[in-house]
Amino acid sequence: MTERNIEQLLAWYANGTLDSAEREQVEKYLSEHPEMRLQLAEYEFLQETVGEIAADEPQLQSDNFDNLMAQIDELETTKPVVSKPEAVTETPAGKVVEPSWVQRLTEWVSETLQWGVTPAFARVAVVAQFALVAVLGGALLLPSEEPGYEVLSGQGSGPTVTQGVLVDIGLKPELTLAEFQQLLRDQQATVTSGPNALGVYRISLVEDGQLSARLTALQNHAGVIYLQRVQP
Amino acid sequence: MDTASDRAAEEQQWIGRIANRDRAALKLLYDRYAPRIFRFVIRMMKDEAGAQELVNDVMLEVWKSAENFEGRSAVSTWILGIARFRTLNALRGYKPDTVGLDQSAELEDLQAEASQVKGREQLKVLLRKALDRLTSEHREVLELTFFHGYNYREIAEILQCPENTVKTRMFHARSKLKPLLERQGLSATDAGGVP
Repeated sequence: MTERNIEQLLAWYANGTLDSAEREQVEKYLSEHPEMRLQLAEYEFLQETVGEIAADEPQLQSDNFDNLMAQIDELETTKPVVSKPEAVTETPAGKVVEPSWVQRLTEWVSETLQWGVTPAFARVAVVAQFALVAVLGGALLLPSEEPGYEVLSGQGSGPTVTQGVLVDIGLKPELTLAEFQQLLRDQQATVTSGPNALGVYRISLVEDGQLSARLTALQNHAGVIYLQRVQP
Repeated sequence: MDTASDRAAEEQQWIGRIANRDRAALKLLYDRYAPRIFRFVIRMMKDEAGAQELVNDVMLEVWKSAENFEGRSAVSTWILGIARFRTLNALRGYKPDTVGLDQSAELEDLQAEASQVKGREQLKVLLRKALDRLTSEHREVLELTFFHGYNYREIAEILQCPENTVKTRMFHARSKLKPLLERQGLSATDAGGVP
């Protein structure tokens, strides 16, 4: 360290903040250059008097902290600061305890929903919506005894055809569902599959003495545009 | 809490509590630092009411930023750094409150006044006047050193400048107070008892 560098440390030697190595260098330098003690004395004079001057100057008002608290209250009301959850807490005994999953969930909800500042009516609405979603979702998950769908020809109604004559039938677009159902009932027919991509149903007819008449009736129906018996 | 390191550790702990919105910890920190901040600020802005407000601005900033404090600097350095930044912002647009002492007329004034000083009270009045006449850069280095008790590294951190700049400013501040210091009869002989 040069002489100039050491001289530049004198102010902090005077205020006692140099580390031990720097202090030793300054002291060694001072012993070798007694004239530098004048400079040190000037700094020591400043150290003494600058503090004294402070005592005569205006002092901080005692109620200033109350004003600060009022400012913080206002800040927390208008723009709340969500506290950062501690990852771990320390017990008085010094044992480190991780927060439970309930605490973590609570903190997450608090941070995510800004729950602390949500008005009461809004909280009720959120809870009600959450409950509704939970109930409906639960209902969907429950096993149901009823099938989740119903075939066009109904379930268990009408004649059950396990063996019969299969016919592909195409319908006019304007034919209503009710008219189609009536047609099936009239001819004792049951939909076995369809409609396919072309809108064709495959139906099954009872193979009895009236089969020909039923096929004729289907063919002549105003809503039928296509009828083709499926070859066995 | 006796040593500086104990105090520093205690303050770090307070900051941790403040990050968790502990107002009691903020009160402890306030009691320790508000008077120092006030002193630092009022020396720069010369407005008592404004300085009171700035103290609270600084502590409010501490309240808001505590959770981001990473402990890379001492709490005291961090707080004074905020205080300085806030004060400079507040002073922007204000008429400068200092006049450089290197102007010859000012220097002659100080020499003339110094020659009239009789007692310690007069000396304090004159020193205060002399400090007021320093530029803010020089005055804050003196204040941070001799009133707040910081070392030059901490001052560099607070002022956001190189350590050598701090040392240079101290050298110039002392030079400008020289007429007053000389008047105190500080000579090699007088200073003989200095350790």
